[in-house]
Amino acid sequence: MSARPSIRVLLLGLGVPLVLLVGLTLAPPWTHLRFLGISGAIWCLFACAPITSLCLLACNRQQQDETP
Amino acid sequence: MIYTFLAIIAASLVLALASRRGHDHQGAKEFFTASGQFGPVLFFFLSVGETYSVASMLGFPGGVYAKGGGFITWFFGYILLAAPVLYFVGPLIWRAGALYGSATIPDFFGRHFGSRALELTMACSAIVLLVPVGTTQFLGLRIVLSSLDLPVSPMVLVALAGVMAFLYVVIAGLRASAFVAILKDGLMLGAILLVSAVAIAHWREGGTPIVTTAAPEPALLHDKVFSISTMIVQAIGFAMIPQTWAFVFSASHPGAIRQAQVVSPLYLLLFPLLMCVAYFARLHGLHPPAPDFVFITTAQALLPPWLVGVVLAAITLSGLVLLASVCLAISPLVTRNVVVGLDEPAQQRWANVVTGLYLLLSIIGMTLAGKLIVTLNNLFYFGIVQFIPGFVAALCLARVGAGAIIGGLAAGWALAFGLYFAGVDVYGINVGLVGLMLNAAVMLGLAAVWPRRGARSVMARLRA
Repeated sequence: MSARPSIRVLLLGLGVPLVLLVGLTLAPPWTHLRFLGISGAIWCLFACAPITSLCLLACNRQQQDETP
Repeated sequence: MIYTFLAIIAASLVLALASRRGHDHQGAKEFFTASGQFGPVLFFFLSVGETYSVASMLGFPGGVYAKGGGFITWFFGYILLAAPVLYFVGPLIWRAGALYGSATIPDFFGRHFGSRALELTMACSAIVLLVPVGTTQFLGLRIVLSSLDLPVSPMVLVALAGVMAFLYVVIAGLRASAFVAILKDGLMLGAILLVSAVAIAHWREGGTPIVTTAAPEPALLHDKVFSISTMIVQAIGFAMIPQTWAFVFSASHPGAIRQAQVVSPLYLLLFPLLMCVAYFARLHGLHPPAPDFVFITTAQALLPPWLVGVVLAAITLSGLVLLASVCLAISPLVTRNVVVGLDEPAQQRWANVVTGLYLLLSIIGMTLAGKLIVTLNNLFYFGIVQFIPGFVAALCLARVGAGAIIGGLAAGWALAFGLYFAGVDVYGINVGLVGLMLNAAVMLGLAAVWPRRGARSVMARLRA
């Protein structure tokens, strides 16, 4: 397996989570709504965890497919 | 309560002993990095042990209880971002380490750049930066152990906790830590799910409704800049923590690191539950003796005593696993990198001495703790992240030499620590990031003036 991941894999695995986190920091949505004491913006932040996991899963599949 | 607590702690010791089976003849590599035999599952449990320490279980809900959710963005963001960073950087560290037979960060830097001065600089700075980590864990353990309500001084109990961490290390090194981490994570997962589920079930009883609307607090651009820069600095700094390198070297192959990082963000879904517990306490009139007690106070208010014993044991194990891991990261820094010429049995013998001394120093630090420890904890990531330009140079820039890296490190540390102590605000940007930029600039400048000749980068060597 190559030591260097492709740009597409890097964008998916690192770029997507970074953009999501920066976006939610700069423009947090549903700040007025609270569920179990936690604001809507923080729930959106928590939702980034499974999304990141899915992105990394896709990267892992992609890198396995790239294995000669 | 005390019986379930003691039974679980005893079970952890049995598990540590069981981890030795089939590995009775331990060399230094087996002791410090489990000979690189861990698959994705053991690697996963070992690496998440770092994320869910006693500080996460007590400090995180304590912070929410005392200050609300203002710090969540950068705190959650950096731990989440650390997973993709480690997904990509972890396999590179593994391959770079394998190239030079390294067991520590200074091993790698010293051998790649052929510089004893750089090896010593990395080792000594890593040791200094790791010192407050142990103290923080003992501060948390004191809170947990004092909640047992035993007629024994908390200091005695903390000393016994230190003995337990020492035993994990002595029994089977990193292998014992990984096995105990499985028990700890199972219990911790159960404890958080249980306390939060019971809290949510009791939410309406005299408290506020589950769904409310509240006027949003306006966030300043300054705070947003701080959150984003801190997220980035700490996420990349996470890859340079000495324990992270020890864990990475324990993986049997780079794929194990990647697979573990795919799952690790899902573990962060425990944070909303911890936050619910803190808000439950705040909105339902629970009064912990101090904010960091909030998780324990809520458990005591909602669960029967024997289950509180399980919760306390889970938090205690989370502190002990991290303590053992830090001991196993700091010991080889001393026995391999600071003191040279020790053979493998001597390295292991001296590692036990260093572990004992580190635990003792951490307990002493706990008794003296105050503003100094808080300051040292803040400095940890500012300092550790400065290793990044040197690592990138080792990977890709063959013309950068050891002198340029030491120059960059010195400049980065001087600026970051200088700005922090002088209280200078650089438009909200994390001072670690400001130091990192100067570090990279100085390193590249020195390399341009005095380039290293006839060397190859790690990537070039891996391709060859």
